[in-house]
Amino acid sequence: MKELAAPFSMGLPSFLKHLRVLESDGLIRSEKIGRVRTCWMNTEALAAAEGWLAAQRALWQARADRLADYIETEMPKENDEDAG
Amino acid sequence: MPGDTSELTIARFINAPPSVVWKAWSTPEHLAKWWIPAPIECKVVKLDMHPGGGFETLMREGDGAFQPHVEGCFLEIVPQSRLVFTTVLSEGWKPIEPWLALTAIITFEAEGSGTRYTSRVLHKTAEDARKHDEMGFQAGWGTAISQLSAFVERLK
Repeated sequence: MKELAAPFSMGLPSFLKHLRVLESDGLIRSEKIGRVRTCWMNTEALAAAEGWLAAQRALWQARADRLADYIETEMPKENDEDAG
Repeated sequence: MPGDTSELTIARFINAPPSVVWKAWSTPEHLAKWWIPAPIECKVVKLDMHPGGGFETLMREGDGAFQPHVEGCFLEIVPQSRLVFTTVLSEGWKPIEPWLALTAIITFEAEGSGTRYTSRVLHKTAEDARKHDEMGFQAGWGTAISQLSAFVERLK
């Protein structure tokens, strides 16, 4: 863990917290044998996230989808009030 | 530019006229409902929709403190038709070093009884963006994770 944390300018506890997030998202897996914990990257999940522009595109697409959902289902319709 | 790997365009049809879609964008209480995926909470701090006007949103997960999300400046506003903002400037055209430099050009076109909603997003080169990504590892962690989760969510 110390080896993995070394290049990052944060303490070991914060680093471990970040790793737990990655692990809970399925991006990495880890196994502890004795005092040594070894991490593997889930290459499939990472490859999907690796396409940086693809991730940005997905973000903007999801944002447009949420806007559409919000307008079409949740947003109060003023026109109805006008008509009434 | 075709083949430019630092630019993206997405479009979708929304079943409401441009006036309604514009309202969902330009009203803080509406924007907060869709700008960030649930359960992450969004707070709209600035939404001054005129050229040079500030745009700032914060995000919060659970009971934590609000974290930076987007800080930018509007460049162009044509009500019910087009808005442009960038993250390389803040309110009043002040240059800033964003976590992710981008300019977003959003257009609202009437199509039948609805709206063709298009986002064209310009970045620096993908290489620059990656570099920035690594530099902003700590500051951008929350954003990166939420972007990643949003991405992964869509893959399911």
